[in-house]
Amino acid sequence: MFQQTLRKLNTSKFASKQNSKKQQAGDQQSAPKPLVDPFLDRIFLQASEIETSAKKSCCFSTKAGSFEKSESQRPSEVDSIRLQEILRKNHALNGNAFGDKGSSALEIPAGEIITEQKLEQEKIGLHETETIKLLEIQSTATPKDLLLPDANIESAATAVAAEHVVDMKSKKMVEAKTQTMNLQVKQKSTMTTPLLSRDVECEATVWDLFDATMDQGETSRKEELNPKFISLPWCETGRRESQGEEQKAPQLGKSAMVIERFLASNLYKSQQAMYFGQSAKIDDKKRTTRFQYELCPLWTYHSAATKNKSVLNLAWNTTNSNILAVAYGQFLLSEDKQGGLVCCWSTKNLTQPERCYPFEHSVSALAFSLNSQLLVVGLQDGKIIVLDVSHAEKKAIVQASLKNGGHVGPVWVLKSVQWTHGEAIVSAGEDGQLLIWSLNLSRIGRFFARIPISLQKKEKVGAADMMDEVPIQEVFSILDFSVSNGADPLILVATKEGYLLEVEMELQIQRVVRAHLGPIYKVQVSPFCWQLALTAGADGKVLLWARSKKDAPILSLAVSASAVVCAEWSPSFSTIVACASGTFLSIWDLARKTHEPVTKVNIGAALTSLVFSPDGMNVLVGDRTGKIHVHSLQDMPYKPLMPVEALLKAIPGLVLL
Amino acid sequence: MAAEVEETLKRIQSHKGVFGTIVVNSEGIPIKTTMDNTSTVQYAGLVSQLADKARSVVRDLDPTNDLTFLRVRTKKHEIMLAPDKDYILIVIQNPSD
Repeated sequence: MFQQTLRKLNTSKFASKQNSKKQQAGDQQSAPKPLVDPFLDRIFLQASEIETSAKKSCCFSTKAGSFEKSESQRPSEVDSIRLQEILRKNHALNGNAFGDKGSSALEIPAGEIITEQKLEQEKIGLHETETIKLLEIQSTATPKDLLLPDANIESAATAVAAEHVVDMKSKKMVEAKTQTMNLQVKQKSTMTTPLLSRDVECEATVWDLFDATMDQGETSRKEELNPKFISLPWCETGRRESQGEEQKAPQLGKSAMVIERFLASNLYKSQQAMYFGQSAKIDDKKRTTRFQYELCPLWTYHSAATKNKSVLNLAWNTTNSNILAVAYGQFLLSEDKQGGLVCCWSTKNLTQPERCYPFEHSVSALAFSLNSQLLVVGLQDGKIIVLDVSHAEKKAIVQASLKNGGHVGPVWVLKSVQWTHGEAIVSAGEDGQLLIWSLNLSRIGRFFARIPISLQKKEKVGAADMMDEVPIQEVFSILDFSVSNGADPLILVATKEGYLLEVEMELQIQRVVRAHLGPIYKVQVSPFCWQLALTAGADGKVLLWARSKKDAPILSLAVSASAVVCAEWSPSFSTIVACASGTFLSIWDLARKTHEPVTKVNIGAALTSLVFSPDGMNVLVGDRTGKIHVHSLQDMPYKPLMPVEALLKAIPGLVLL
Repeated sequence: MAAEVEETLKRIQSHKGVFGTIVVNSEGIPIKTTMDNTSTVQYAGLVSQLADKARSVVRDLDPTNDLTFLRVRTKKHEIMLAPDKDYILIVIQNPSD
């Protein structure tokens, strides 16, 4: 109805049948009930504000004030008197609610009938009426500060409101928002034990990020998530640690090993420096160098495990020149069988062997394979075992014994050679066999040092007449062999009976030479000249053999009265030979003098084996008490520029083919 | 601990010139020691910090690199430490030279 009123007002045309009709409608509605509805009154009056205070305004369409014009049928006529009466009535009933009595916007002189023409003549003015409150609902909320019990609360409504405010925290009040799901939430609290909290700091550095990218998908991330934060500090840290320790024990072991090396090198710093050739003994008297060929004792490799055993063999690792494998066992076959040992010593840890492998039998031969992880070991009972040195526990990879065509007696020498297709291991033993094995110990070739009598008779050299009288075939035990690689390759085989055999590569004996009066302990081809070889025999002599001279040595070195157990060419100096006999270690320089050694040192114990360090500046000798003495060669002359020429110059009888 | 590692540590302890061996776990708590309590705790705390600092130096310079050993030579002796993710092995030696 209000809307209708407005529309009507806006048209401001009175003379319309519609208006009148509406008036009539309004009349009919309200005529029987002239009740005062305060609400509607207010609307009515407000409408009067908006509208032009047209005198004719038959537009009051409220029920109460609706014009009961009823009587006059003329559309545009309003009984002004009647209207005013109504208004006054309303005033009286509603009292203050209306405000002033001058609220009616209509000023219609009494008794006058307003016509349309009159309206047009008249001026229409707009007045603003007083503000009339149409609707007022008292607020029942009171500000908080007014919550004083003795506050002057006038209306009952506010008293109730105060009650409610006090009760705010009770469940009667619910805060709700419109247009949202109002979930009824209830807060409840329970008693708990105090929560443990611990402050932990964490720093993410550049390399933490790097680690994280590297470890994506790796198991180490799982270790990171390991309960370092979850575990409580007071519960069994010991147990957890012990479990963790087992996991990290290999790392710890490795670090411990390196630290041991540090410790040892701290004690033996100067010796190690001398070994590696780092100590420059700059002498003021350098001008008058005398080349004394000094043998300075550096250190000794020994440990509790090697105490009662003799050093039988020494072998350097093929790739890592700091690792030395040593075979321990019984020197004399008559000694008590105590078992053998293979130790790997390092030049960096002088107090403890890095690897220790025990065996039931004495170890008589060993060699590193060309791929340096494998160590081939020959035992006194004829077994050949391939070991993996990278593990600390003895891990035999392959094993060859008599069953797979091995040796009958002790294996005296093992060598790793380059064969036709790959690498081969050559073993020689007491039974006179020279066997060629592949790396997985399957036999490739075989040579039998069996010498037919006819050959003996033909080629016999020296005073061994006894040989003629024995008309049988003889098998010679092989103590050592050496391969001479050159234009005409040969294998030189040293036998226990004192014969030096020249064997062709097809494993046929070419020649037999009577070399020494006793067993030949060592034969070695010079690393600089393939036509030159040395042999060391039990008769105390070291003989030099050349290809040019068939049946006799070209040079003889009288080393000592006792047997020369070992002799070796220096790998760097073409004319230097080291010999071990009795308890003496002697160095011979063929370029200087051949009637006596240039240096001789008494080690103190019976020597059994000898080896040069790979750079040729140090000599290692093993003795019968299980010790290995390391000596450094100092005050040496310069290496010859042309080693073969130096040899030719040194040995007068040497003629190269 | 594994027997071999135990043996190696024993050998280190009885090495000439060594007067202390300490194994510290990743949290800085010494788990194995041959020195008295106060020195152990002191060494463990200080050395862990040093190892961390040294490692951060190495890795900041090149993240692919990592610290393997640290040797501190002093007037009186030498401190050797092998730091790792899970432990630090500290050995104090008095080299006779």
